Amino acid sequence: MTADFETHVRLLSDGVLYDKAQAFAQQHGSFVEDEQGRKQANGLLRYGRDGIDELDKYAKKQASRDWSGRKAHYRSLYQSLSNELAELRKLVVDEGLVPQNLVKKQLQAATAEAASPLAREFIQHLVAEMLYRQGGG
Amino acid sequence: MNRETVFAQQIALQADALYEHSVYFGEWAAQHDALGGDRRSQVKALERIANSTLKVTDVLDYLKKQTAKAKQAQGWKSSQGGHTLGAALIAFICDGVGQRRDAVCASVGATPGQDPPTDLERQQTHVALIREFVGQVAAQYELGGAP
Repeated sequence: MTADFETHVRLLSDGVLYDKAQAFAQQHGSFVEDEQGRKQANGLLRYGRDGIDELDKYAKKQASRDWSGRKAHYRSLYQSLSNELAELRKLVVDEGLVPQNLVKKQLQAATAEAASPLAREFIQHLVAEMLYRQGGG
Repeated sequence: MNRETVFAQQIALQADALYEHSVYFGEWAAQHDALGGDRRSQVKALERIANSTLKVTDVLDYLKKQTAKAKQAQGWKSSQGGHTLGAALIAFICDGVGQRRDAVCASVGATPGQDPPTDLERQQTHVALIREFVGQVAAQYELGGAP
């Protein structure tokens, strides 16, 4: 990771990623209201550290689970999260953070590499915001 | 005058203008025993994060998590004027300190021979002002009754 890339990520984190996390929390409310919710938050933080591909796999797997009753909202939350991650992949391309003239497989790998720090930042903002909303700040 | 010096002068001016707010927050934390038994370490942790980070949101995320953890009406959730300490600090860092950042950037941009500040310079200015503000809050907190 170059210094320019890290600077770019920091600017995105304080700007668009923070705003996205706020909007996401606004849309979905807090999900950390109970033990189950805290497990979900820990899962997001853990997979967020592993990169965008792992996080997306986790989100899709969670979205496909048979949530029911009071947990039914988790399905739409994880579907939305997967959509957010797709937007982050697009964002790094739009921001010029991915080299051009790559073949498809290389492009996918470079996009994931560039988008992973953004996904981690987004998740950190999201979990902090969710905790704050639930905690009655 | 080089650009760094212009920024440093303007940041120092605007940091002085934050002082009365820092006193308010420092006294709030101290007088209401707002941060509980480990309050000194929490103020120190906030100061450490502000001094080490390059992002505004690291400070905001820390305050959100600490506020979420606090017991009702205690610590970062101690209430004054209908707001909790954590929420008031978050709002002030975004808006109050944000206004001072805008003032710094406007002054630098209006200085003959200086280009308008870049997004990176705006971010760095905001972080620099947060450091000044949190340092002032911590100092006032120490004066106001920390053990």
